[in-house]
Amino acid sequence: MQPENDLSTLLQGWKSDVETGSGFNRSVWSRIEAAESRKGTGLSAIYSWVRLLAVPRFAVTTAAIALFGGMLIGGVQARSSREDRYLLSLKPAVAGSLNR
Amino acid sequence: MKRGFLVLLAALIIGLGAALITRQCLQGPPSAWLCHEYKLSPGQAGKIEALQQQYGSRCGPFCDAMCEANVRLETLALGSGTVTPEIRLAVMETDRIRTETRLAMLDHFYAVAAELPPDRRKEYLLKVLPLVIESCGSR
Repeated sequence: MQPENDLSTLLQGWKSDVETGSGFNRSVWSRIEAAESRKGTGLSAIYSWVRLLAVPRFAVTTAAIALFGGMLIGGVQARSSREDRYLLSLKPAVAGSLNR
Repeated sequence: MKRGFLVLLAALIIGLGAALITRQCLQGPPSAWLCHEYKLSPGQAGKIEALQQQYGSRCGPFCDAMCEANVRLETLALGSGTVTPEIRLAVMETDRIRTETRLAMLDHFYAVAAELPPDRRKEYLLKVLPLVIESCGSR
């Protein structure tokens, strides 16, 4: 009977030092923070990218990409619309106006 | 931040300008596609270009005549409640001009096809004939 008495004494003397619900509160706050940071991710990424463009090195790179990208798109467009342009030029109204 | 947006705007303008200029430079005359597609020699390309010019000068008067005939038909049709002999004649006139135009087109297509490799003439005609022969839908 001695060990049983010891356990009862111990249990009676034990006090919880963990606040009830503290884990719950923490998880709620962390979820709110995560949601807030997610909300700003898209826009802030754009802003930080635009801010980066103010650096001369990145500005020159962006301009070069735009130049070569534009040339590529223009070249592809010119090639793909050639047949349509020829067929259009055969329409009497267009053929007549091209020759005036 | 403002400078960044200016750079972005400048990049967009550069890209658009480059696309337009490249497109304009690479397009060439309308018959360039024909020369490239059918691998024509420079001599044949010159003939095709001449045919195209000739075709344009033939089609111009047809278009003017068609416009006049259409205006006349519209005026007559709006001023009448029935099909009068004048309206009938005006309709026939538009059809006559259309027929003449279609024959001129067909003539041009045959002239161009004659300059192409013999085994690819039919392929060319299949591409251009829908311009003179109206489709009957699924048939």
